[in-house]
Amino acid sequence: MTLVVNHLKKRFYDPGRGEFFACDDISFEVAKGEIFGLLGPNGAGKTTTLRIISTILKATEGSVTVCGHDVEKEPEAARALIGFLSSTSGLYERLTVTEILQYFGRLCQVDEKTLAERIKRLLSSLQLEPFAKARCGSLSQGTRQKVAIARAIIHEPELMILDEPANGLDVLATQVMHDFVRESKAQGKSIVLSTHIMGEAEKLCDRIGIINSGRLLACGTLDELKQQTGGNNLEEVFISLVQDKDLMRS
Amino acid sequence: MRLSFLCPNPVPGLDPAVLKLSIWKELLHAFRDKHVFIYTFLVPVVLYPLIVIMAFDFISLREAAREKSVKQIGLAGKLSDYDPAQRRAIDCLFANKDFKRYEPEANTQADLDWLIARGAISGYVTKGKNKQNGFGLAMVINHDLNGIALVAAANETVDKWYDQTVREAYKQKGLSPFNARPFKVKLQDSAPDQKGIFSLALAFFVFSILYLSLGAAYPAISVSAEESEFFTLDTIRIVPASAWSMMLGKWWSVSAIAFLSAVLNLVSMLAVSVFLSQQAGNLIKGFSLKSEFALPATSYAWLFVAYVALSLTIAACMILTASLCRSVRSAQQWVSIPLSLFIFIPVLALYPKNILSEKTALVPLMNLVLMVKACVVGEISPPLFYTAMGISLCLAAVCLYLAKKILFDMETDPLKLVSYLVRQHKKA
Repeated sequence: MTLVVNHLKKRFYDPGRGEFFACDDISFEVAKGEIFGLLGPNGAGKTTTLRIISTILKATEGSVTVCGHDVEKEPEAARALIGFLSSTSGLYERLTVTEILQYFGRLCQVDEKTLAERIKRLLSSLQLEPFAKARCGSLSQGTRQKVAIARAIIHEPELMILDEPANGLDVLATQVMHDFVRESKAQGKSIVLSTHIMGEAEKLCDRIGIINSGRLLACGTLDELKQQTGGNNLEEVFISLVQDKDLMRS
Repeated sequence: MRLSFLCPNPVPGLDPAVLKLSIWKELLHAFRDKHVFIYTFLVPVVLYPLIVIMAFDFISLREAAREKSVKQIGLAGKLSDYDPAQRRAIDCLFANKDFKRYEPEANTQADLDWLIARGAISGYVTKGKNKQNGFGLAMVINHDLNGIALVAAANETVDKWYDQTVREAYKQKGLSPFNARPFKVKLQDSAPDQKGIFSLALAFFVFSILYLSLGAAYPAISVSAEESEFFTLDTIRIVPASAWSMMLGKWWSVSAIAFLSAVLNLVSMLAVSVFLSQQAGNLIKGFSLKSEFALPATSYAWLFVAYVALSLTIAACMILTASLCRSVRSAQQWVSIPLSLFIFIPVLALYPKNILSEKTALVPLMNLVLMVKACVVGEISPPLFYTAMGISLCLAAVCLYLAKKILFDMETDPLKLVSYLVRQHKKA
């Protein structure tokens, strides 16, 4: 397994809400070459889960291993295997596209010759060549997202973590994103994709985990989820699971 | 250029390659920031000369106005104590409408010294120690621009009278007139124990510390709050590289830019001063820019060390402040607090009684500014300097540690964390 998430819990404190669990006993696995979708409404705990997997946050309880490396005990080894991409592109406004790729490639200890080849290949495959010397602050949202993709995969990670990557993108930029996900899968990369867009999850994911209020309500292929809930499509499955949960609570 | 020598290797948690890369990125990113360009280069290099030229013009106008105003001149003792020739010179001085005799008369020299220090009189006339300069009169004035101008005016007044009357009378009688100025000038500081108070070099160095602080502000925001706002912090948190190396890269970059800002400001100030020194020489007799900066080499070496320590400490404080903010805008507001403090400290250090001592060496930042002052006035004391640098760099280390915790390790907003801890404590 590329990714194993085991009984993950994350407690936060908010002055208004007091203590609360953003992730409450979440467990799932992602195999090599698999696209795992984490589907849930806003505030369900998707981003927190992904941030713990990508070592940005530390879990309160539970464990996460990436290709056998525990993210808490061996964060640097795990980081070398992870590529993280979110809707907020996280680019340095005053660095050029090439400078950003060089910076992150070197930080990820890619040797200079390989780095130069990868930059050339990525610029070409993502149609970024005309923008190679442009500063990121001057790029359109779609182009920025392409640069963010290139930055996330410059070190050829085994596990891609995509946190609502198509948020705020137009149709064409979304298509580029979806193509990238499919290509990564074809290359044998494992992908964890968080989204609240049903169509996106249905179209791209091999397995889907439905998350709400920090709890993983169900996990399986689309057919398994349909069988489990009796829904005809993902939207019905999702509503059924979330409403059941809310009824149980009330 | 290899920068690995800047970081000892192997040191756990430090990676010279990452450090070098981080410095490269931070400098590149900061130098392309228009705020950094304005506050690091434009303000100290361009705005400063404008301020100096305006200040110089203001002083010139003020001095010109003072020269035109009536000056109160005291007289030590009674007029009858002076011999006839001296009395004639004194009468001539007070015949000029620009000079008014201070009443009442019969003051002692001590009284008159005190009156000068208070600014009640511009100077006073007294008897010289000998008569070799002709009249045997001395004029005691305060050692400032106004005083120097005053002596020139007094001498000119009496010279004119002397040339028109005495010299001609001597010549007509076939005698050789004594060739000397009527007044022997004695300059006196109103506070002789306040060493270095009028040092131009000290003013220059202290002024440049203000620009050092200003130069550190925007780069510090660029490496911390801006990274939070644009989510680039997340991207560097998940790379397999040493967080301490990246943090040190940020710190050294900000320090380097702050140091550069101060140096550029000093160079700019010197350039403007050289340009204006000719005019200054006309205004202040005996003024020499070269003599103002004639410090021993050891002083300059210590000054360099003090500036490096100041840059490192101020940069660390600024980074900590900016790292508490989640946006550039809020960081701009919050950074103004330490910035005001860093501007206030050099001004405080200019007070004559504030010197580097065993006590003041324990006050971080202030001790480094006082170290700069000590270097300029020539009071080199390595043990105190080491203490000052040690204390200030300890503050920098604490700030850096906290900033690293916030930027790379903290999971929640630090202010929320503090609020949570306070609530827990109250509950308990």
